[in-house]
Amino acid sequence: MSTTTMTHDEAHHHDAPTGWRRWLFSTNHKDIGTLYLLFALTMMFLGGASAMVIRAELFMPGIQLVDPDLYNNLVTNHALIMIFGAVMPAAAGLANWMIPMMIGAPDMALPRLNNLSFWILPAAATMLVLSFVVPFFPGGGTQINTGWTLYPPLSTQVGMSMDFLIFAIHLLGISSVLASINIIVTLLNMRAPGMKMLKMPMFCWTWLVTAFLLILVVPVLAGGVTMLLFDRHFGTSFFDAAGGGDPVLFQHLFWFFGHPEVYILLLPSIGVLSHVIPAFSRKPLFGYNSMVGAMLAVATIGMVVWAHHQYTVGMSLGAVTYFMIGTIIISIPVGLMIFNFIATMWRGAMTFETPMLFAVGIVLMFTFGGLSGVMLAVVPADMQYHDSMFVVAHFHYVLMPGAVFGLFAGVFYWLPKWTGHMYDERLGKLFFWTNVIGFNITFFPQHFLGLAGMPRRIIDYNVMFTEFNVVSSIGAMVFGLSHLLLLYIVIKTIRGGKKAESRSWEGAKGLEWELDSPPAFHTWTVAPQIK
Amino acid sequence: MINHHTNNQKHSTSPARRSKDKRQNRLRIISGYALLMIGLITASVAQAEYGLNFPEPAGAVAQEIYDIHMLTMQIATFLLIIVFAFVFYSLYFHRKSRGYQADQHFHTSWFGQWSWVFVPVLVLGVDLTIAGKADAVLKKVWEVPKEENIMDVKVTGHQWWWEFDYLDSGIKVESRYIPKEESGDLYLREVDNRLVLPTGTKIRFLHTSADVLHAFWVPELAVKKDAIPGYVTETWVSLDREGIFRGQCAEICGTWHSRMPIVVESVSPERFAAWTGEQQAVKVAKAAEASADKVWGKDDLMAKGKTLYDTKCGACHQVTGLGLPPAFPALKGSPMVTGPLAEHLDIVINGKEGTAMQAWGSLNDLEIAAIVTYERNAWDNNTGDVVQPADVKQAR
Amino acid sequence: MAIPEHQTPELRRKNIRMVWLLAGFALFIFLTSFPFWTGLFRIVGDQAAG
Repeated sequence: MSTTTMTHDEAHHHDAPTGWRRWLFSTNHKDIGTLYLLFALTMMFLGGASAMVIRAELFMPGIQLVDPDLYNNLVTNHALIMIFGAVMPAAAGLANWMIPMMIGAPDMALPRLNNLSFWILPAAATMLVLSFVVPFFPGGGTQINTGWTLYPPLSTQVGMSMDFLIFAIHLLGISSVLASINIIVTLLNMRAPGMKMLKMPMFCWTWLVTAFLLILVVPVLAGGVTMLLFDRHFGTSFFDAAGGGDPVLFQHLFWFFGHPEVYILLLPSIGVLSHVIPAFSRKPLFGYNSMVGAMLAVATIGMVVWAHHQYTVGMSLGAVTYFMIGTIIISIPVGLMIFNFIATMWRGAMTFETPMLFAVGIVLMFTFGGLSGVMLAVVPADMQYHDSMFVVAHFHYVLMPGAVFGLFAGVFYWLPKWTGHMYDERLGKLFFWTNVIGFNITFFPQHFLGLAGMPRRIIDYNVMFTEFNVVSSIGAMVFGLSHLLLLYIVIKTIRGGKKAESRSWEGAKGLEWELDSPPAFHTWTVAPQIK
Repeated sequence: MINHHTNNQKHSTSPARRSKDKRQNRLRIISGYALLMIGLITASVAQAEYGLNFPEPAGAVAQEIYDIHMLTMQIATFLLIIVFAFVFYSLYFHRKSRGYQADQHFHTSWFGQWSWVFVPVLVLGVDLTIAGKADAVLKKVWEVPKEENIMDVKVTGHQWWWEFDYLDSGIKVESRYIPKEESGDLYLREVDNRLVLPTGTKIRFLHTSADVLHAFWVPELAVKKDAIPGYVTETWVSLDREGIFRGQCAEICGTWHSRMPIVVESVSPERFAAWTGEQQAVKVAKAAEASADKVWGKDDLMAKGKTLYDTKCGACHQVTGLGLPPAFPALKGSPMVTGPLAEHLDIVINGKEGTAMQAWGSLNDLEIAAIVTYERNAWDNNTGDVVQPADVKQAR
Repeated sequence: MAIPEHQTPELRRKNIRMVWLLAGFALFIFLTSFPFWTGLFRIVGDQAAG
């Protein structure tokens, strides 16, 4: 549709609505992307605050700040808020902002569905917060002292908080399935003429796979928690051995969702890296096709190795051998991805702006986390590592660099495009260094704690674990506080700063950089031709 | 960072000079970081006494596990060094500020065309090395040897204590944490009754749980297994040195998950035989005392009841009787405890479904009588009731 | 509130068809990936019998 044929009526529709209506009724992918990102930022601080309480409590042996049930509830909330509230919405925010601009589409395929899938989130977050709040009222029952895995029978002992949480998970699940459907339809039907699947930007590819994974596994989690709800209130005994059920069944259902979830968190950030590293190395991504193949392999194999989270439940020798080999095999496609990133940097002309600093940090630290993952995959050794602080260290090394730093890199990379202003590079670098150093001081010592025999999710520990816990807690405070700097940088960039050019970075390639910074409210109303 | 900032100051030297300054500054930064890292590593090695690795294994199975842990860790470290070396080489030499021109055809060279084949092959080689060794160890660790004279110990997790049943001798050990005032530096690593095991004997643990999931973990023994209500899982060990090995519950099990230490005392077979004898004598004496048709005085029951209550009930309902509401109701002034005796006995013997209150029916009549008498009279409850073992027998 | 008038009717139909397909698929996973119904039927059966 070109401007010359646009009627007066249509032109009227294209005006950006103002005030709260602009946001509540928004069908614009850019506005909804912004909403997602702001929601994620808010939840990151909420989840971060619970992590700070956890680390403050673990700073010294003994029970100083919170009681054990509250502590366990914070452990539960930290995980759920960070995964469902911060990382997934942030990745969805990037997808909403960037996918239509990258594939030359005017908007998402289903704009009103898009509005729905975002506005379910605040409701879900409210339910989650309520689950935390009700135990403080008379008759509220016990707190959710199970960890985010919600294993029965412990989770059937919990009070009404658990019901709030189950419904929160249902809402979060519906939201992400709807968002995934929208993204898949957009990517399959809305590409600009001439953009073949294998010409799609990598970020779009990663989100296509992520969206399919979400549709495959989120309903399984929904099923699992529904059964939990039935066990709690309607006299069923899916997970109750006394009634002929099996407590381990829940673990299988949970991890059938939970393990692909790791890749759901990881892949969008891999997509961001596939843009950031070539841009700042000033040469094309090394091995585009093998990257797509590796990603499909990770998603496929990742679907069938869930039980490596439950090596200690007493599976048969055959079963654990299968899950061990399968898990170790995942290192092949993941190794290929890392190799492609290093080969992209190799013989490039690199500069180190903040997004690139994060990208390099990811390549190094994610490799480290991946290698400790191979150690964990080995069943006999896992009999030691399982449920120890070593595991906590491992998955934070995978998820912080793998998912969160990737999102940071994406935010810094595209912030000039979104706001039309360059962020303050000095502050950006300062944020990177405080963040990464704080992160390493926090989680590196936890490897030693785990090996020495400290289990995870304990509120109180023997004096032999004091030293490393002190170091870890101090690191955590630095790490936590550094995010205030992120908030400051983002606000400062939105309010003003050096004018960003359309192509904000020298080496940036792709359709999104053909648009103004900031882009018009509606972009690509005339689809570009891809050669 | 400071060095870096001074670079940004405008000064009137020539561009060549500036870039040389820049390079020197950068070298200074790099060497600064290198020193910092060396410092950190030395500092952490100096902490070695606090444990950087698993403790010394106490048996053959544990040794195998320790060896495969070391092998994978060495392979991982080796790969990490390679990756870091390539990345840092690239970061240093392939920089725009050094005037390096990006090679726009690197990804279309033969290397770019074929890397997707040989990289996976290399990784597969590493994987097979690890998987092959792991598979061999796994077979030894996983399958319990089928031997007639293997010693069976049933390990039952409770909220929040461990029960060890020596199935061959019928001895039962209840193992609970010791409060800080009495255990001092061993707080959360010491228990009242240890799990005593003989060296040089193959031992099979049968894990199960009375309530929620728990997990048995002693790093020196290396085998960890979940305790699942209604199911029995098994592991086996064979200890080859004497000593005291400490571990704790590894699967979150509610409020006092942190208060479930496990202490294994590994002794010679002779001392183990002596210990078994002692335990059996104690057991016989206790049974005799409980079954004697004796009417007990209130003071005796109260004294016995206090000891039993403090160890068995105190973790939840608290020694003060005030509980930890809402999960663990107070017993002081509670209508359950001051009300009809039959209901009180029923909840103690059979537990209450859907809550953390478990069935205590495995205690003998005298023990239950003492606990109930104590609860009905302590903390100003003063009902004046004296419950006799015979009453408990009737209530069962 | 803007109607997505950037889509031609054919594209719109194609999009919506695909949405129903994917939603149906998600529902299918939800219903079949766990033995929900077998469990429910067993319980119903037990109650009818006993």
